[in-house]
Amino acid sequence: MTPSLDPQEFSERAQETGLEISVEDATELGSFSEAVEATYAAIREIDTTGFEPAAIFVPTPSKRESE
Amino acid sequence: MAIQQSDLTYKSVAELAPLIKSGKLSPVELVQTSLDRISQLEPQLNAFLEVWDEAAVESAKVARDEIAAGRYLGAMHGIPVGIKDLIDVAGTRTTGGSKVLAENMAHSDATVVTKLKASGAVLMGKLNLVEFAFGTTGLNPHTADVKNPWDNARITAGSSSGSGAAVASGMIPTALGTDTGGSIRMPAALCGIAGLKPTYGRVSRAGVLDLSWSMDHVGPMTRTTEDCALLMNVLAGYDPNDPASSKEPLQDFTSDLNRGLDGLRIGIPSHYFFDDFVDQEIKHSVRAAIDLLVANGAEIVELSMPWVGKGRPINFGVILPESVSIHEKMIAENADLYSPAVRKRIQSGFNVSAIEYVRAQRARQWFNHQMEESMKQVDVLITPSIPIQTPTIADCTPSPGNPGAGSELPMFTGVFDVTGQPSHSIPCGFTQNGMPIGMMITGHPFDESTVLRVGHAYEKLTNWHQRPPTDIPAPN
Repeated sequence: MTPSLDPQEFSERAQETGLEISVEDATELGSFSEAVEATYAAIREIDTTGFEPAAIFVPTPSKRESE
Repeated sequence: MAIQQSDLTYKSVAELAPLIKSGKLSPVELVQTSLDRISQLEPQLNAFLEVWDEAAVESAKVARDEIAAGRYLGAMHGIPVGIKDLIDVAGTRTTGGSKVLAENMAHSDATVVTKLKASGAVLMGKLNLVEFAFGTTGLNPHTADVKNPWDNARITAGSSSGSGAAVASGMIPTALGTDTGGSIRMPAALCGIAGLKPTYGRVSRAGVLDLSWSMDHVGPMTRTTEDCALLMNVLAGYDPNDPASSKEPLQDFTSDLNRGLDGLRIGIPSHYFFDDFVDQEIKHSVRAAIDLLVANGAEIVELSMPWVGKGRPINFGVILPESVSIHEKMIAENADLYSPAVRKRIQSGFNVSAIEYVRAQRARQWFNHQMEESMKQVDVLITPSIPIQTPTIADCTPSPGNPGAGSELPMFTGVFDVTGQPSHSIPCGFTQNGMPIGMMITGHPFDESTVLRVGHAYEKLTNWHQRPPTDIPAPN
């Protein structure tokens, strides 16, 4: 799913994930939404085959606390 | 003979520290000079949100007494420092320049503040910034706009806007900033000072309000490169309270400053950073700076980097969903307390999907691989810090239907938040209308020393960094 530019749809989809934004606020996003669209469009053009995400969980060594 | 206050105003830490150590200058006198300069220039510049004058004088007296008793702690002992109001100082408010956190009292010090206090530095107060550090122009409708000391009608850039203006105007010699897309280096460039974004993980983020966990950096903003090195000697180091903190060995960041330029290989990207969209005067100044470095022993390597323009989209593509996650509870409860521009900036990320975020993180890894390959040929990259001339505050002020100018500001700086490389902006000239131009020196991860070495070598060859701003009164 890409960021939606339709305010009604934008508001409904956000609320599906627990993020509250009114249709009025979504209507006023305007150029901000366009910048978001352009950002992820530019990223989608990149062939990332063979690359894992930069943020990978690394466990921290630990032991039971001594009594 | 006593030192005139006006003679102290634009001195660097490297100049002040020997005077303090030898007893020729009392930290109390220095702090009073700083307080007088703040009184002279505020609220003209709006750099400070709070000034802790009584506490600062008391700290200075403690420093004076310690030094007199033979317990000199090092170069930062007795030196005034300003703190960006994103960073916790116990017993004071950390507002993030917001109304949401207007009464947010810090109960403990950020790690960088603990380190500053241990160094004997004198904390002067909290510095203005963009609301929650989420913006590039430096403007903040909640706190009054920070004015550029070189032209009060123009922006400082941000988000560390107060830090840039306060150091440039001689209110304080050093400040802390934070950098997620360029928020140290952009105001450093437009205010004509030095600003170092250290390697990601080099300086602790513990006790600093988050904007984007995987992009946030904390670093020094000072008059000179040498002062950045002195401050890094205090700030850097592993911190178990920061999950991203690095255990890479520390260095004395001043140790390579005077090694000169012989044998250094400087990479000049043949893509993006010098393209047609970049202002001609800025390109000319940075090219002239490169020529000067070559004339003094450095070697140039032209680097083909056709992929590098993807850096800023990846930067913003990671920042946005992380900032939504950080703000989702606060914005649900206090949406009306956010300024419209920052609220919309955050809300615009509400429908970014999980796969878009993962794509951005994979793209970041791809990007970092490309950068590593290019960096194998060189010691540092040199580029302009910012592609455009300093906009006016009027041009950057949002209005209904107009988000305001300034989106081009982080096009270059954001690249190196993605890679986490150390990246340093220093002045390298002025535009015809008298505004500073910034040059960015970027090195290998954890090799701040070479970045600082190049910056220091350049500053020894030029005097751009010594010129006082032109749109503020001279010191009393």
